[in-house]
Amino acid sequence: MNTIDIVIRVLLFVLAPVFGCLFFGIDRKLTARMQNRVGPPLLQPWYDFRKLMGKTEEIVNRIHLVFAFAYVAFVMLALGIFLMDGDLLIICFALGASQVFLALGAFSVRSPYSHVGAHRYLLQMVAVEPLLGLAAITIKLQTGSFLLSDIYAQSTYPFFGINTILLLSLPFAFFIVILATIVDTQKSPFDISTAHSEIVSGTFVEYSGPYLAITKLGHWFELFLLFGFVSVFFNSDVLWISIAGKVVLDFIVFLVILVIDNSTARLTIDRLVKFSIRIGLPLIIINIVLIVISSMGVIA
Amino acid sequence: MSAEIPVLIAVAFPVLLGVLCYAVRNRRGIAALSFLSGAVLIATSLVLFWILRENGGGIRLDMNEFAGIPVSELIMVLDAVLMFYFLYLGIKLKNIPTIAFAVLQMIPLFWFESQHRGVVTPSFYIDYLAMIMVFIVCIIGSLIVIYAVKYMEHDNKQGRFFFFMLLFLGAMNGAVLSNNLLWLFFFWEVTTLCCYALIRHEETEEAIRSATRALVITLGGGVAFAVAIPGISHYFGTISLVDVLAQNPAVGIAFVPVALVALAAFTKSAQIPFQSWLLGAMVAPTPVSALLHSATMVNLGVYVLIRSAPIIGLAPWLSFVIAVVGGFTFFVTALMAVSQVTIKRVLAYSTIGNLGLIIMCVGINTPLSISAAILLLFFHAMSKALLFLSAGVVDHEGHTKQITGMEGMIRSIPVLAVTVVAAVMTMMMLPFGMFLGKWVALEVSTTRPELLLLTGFVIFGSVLTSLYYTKWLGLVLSAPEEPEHPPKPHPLSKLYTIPMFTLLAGAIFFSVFMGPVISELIGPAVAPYYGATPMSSDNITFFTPMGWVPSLLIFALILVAIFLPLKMFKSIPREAVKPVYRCGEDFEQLRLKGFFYEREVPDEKITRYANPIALILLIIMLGVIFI
Amino acid sequence: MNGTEKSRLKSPWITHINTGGCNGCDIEILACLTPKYDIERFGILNKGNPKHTDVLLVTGPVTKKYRHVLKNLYEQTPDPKVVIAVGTCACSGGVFKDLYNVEGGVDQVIPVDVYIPGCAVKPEAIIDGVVLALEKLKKLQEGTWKEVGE
Repeated sequence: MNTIDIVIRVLLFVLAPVFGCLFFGIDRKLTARMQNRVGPPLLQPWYDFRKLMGKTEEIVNRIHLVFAFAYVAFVMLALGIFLMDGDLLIICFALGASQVFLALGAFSVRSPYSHVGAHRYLLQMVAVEPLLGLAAITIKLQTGSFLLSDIYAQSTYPFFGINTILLLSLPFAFFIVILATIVDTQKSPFDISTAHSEIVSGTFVEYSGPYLAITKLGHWFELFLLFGFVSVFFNSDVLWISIAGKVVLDFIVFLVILVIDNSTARLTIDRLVKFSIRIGLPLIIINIVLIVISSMGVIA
Repeated sequence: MSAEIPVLIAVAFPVLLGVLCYAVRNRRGIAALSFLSGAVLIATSLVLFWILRENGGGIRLDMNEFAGIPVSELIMVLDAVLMFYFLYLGIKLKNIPTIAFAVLQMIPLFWFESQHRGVVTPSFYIDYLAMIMVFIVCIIGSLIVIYAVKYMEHDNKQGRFFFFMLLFLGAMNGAVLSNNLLWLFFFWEVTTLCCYALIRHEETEEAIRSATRALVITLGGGVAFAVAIPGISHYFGTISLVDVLAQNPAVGIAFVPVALVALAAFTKSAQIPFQSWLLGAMVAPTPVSALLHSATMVNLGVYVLIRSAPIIGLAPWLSFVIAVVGGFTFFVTALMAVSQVTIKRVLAYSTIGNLGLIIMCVGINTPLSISAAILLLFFHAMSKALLFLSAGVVDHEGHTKQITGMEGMIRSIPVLAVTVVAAVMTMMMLPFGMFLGKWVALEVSTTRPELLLLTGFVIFGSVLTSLYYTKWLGLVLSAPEEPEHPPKPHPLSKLYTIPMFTLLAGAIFFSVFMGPVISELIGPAVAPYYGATPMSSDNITFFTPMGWVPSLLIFALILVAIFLPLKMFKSIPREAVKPVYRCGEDFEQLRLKGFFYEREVPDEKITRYANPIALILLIIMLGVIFI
Repeated sequence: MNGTEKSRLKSPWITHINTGGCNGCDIEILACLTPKYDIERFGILNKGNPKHTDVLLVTGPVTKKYRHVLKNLYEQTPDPKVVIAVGTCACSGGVFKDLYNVEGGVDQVIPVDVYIPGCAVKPEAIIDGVVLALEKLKKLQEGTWKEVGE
């Protein structure tokens, strides 16, 4: 990797929260427009962040705060490994580790809302993490490697004899990644662990002021990472087509998530687990079976 | 320097001290003898390691005579005595399966010993795999014995207890160092005896029942082993392990004895459907659980499988079914551990699952997966022993055996709570050895299409593992709101803290300095049969041919993200501390027990389905050679 | 006015607390969140948790049983905060003023910054009141706020 590559990746890392902030801002604006409202300005998440940083500190205990930092640190780690073109499975597990830390942070205060939120959050992790790992494994089966550096090296991969981009040969893995994005950014119908009307703010209920701002920062990094994962499904040999295609793919996924968010109601946590076992798992298994058959040389 | 003296000390010295413990019977004498045994064993293992390195590889050691007594004959006699003792136990307990298994063991064994003449050379074979096991037995075992000195201080049968503990250490050393299959079998049966006696220690009705069940199941494994030995002698022409492993027979009936040995290993390591004895064995005192049922005895089954891996690898279907049994066990036990409330049962299920993972790696049988198996073996022994020791301290000092009783322990016994949190982190968190082993196992299982079933087992099992460990840690960390005067922290005895902190330091140290672990221990262990190990580490990144992990970066991140905020937050003013949000009400302290999902994943129901499936797998395993 | 202060004015998060009223004002507050009045364009979000919010919208005359709850919620809200008494009952007790089970207005329990009379309060008045509270916050930050009588 030459110096320009390194500079670009560091720049992407530093700008990741900026993108996250803008995504959430556009999200709120478009949601408002869909609901026939005016909506807040685009930079609203940034104003929220600044305001939260300026509040007086209020804590319940210190361990609670440490886990908020650990959560953000591991999301940043996952993003860092992603930008270093690392191992997809490690990225999934680093995300899982960050979720474990957030759950531990929510557990470390004696609040009923926090504990119920943390239990739901863990179940949500059990529902989504294995599928995300299986999606990464499906990518590996198609491209032959877990490492992003190898995946980017080729833009199309053979699928039943035809060279196709990953999006077309791994549609169900793509669906799982979209599902993971919906669940991890807490959007309807799966915004269960921070269900406002049921458990106040779930895992985030006892964070306030600057520490809530830190968790919001974590969200921004997480969103950028998940959209990065989505963008893995499109590659091109020409650099500007690759970048443009990834941005367009991200934007389309963003709109799809937005529409789903605004047109569905919240489901319960056991519905999420059942959905992932009854629908998510069979779909990803079908995708894996297709890839295996196609790689064994069966002509379509 | 010859390896004869260290081997002799490692095997015979603990037995001698054990007998002295039984004779001495007073508390101080037993403590002194245990410390002496620990010191000598630790020193012996280090000396043996040094000799091994000087020798550059496997050491073949003959020990045909000991103080004028021919050793092989001595072991034959002792073995026969042991067989008859098992028969006697079966009669005394009025337990038909025990009687049947004891007799069924004697028949092939005595028949074979009468046929077999000639000296097996070498008697002992010491290579790096055996060395790893010797380290586990001597170092971790000695730490546990030291812990047991304090733990059992109010017990009135300490003489008997420490006799069996030290006898067990000697037998384990003998088993992993033996090259002669008959000697291996003898030491194996001695560990079965120690297991029975130690589970039975409390002499309550439940203890006797659990001990009997353990005896029945492990004796059943012994029967399989006893039938396998003549088979191996017939088809492989030798009962010297080194010579068996050097052979290359065609797949066929020659592998039925190998499958029987695998079956024996499954009973010893409590894989499904044999897991009930290990779960019942949790009634034993905690040092027993730590030593036998997590760190050492159950590792004997896994050790035999890793040792036989080159032969298993010659029969692809056999190794595949072994891998499926291991992977299936890992998944099912992770599922069942979610609903457990007793601490030791959670740890028991976790142990069985991790052993299943190691067995799965052996079944996959590639250089990378065998390396992963040894890596997992090494780190699992440390972390699991530490967790069981902590569970023992929770029982004695925290007065609870349940997870729900550990609620808020971060305030009542901070040292213990932090140890538990750190230990669980070494089991499941990102840059530590256990996680790397699991990750390598997962990646290896995607290399061939038929192994993808195992991928599913591992990935779902890993996430479920995170679930039940995080739930447990959550309750431990759930601190009550700060009282005006925090309670004086409970001081823990040095005999508890020194073994626990040593194990914790070891688990962390070896995870950070993974490079030497791979290049000095795992690599040379794998090299003789599988070539250079594909995994490597320069202490900054952990490399495998399929991916890499920036481990030093993650360790640095943990330091920065956890310890730095802890230091920063020392200066938060008292006024900033506010109560939790309870809709504005003034409640008393809340108690939050958490969810255990007994309705969604009930362990009796899962056992009822899992046991038949595993039984069918075992039947397939015994018959699949003929495909 | 630096960035943080500007952000405070652009992102006031509210908690709506009903201290025992008839729910008339509560319905009007919720109406503000609907597309017709859309207070989210000011960055206002309705959070249920006082630890996350800056503005307390209190309705209802404070019943005696609710007194300690209101005090706790006020104390759990981090500074800087603004309290708005919505509705005549919250301002002075309204029709329930001298009742046996009522304190008689929010300012009997916690300090109030803005009073919005009305029964029930019109959503436009609520928006007006929130804007007034933000102006007070701005002047407090600048140091130019004058109390009545100074």
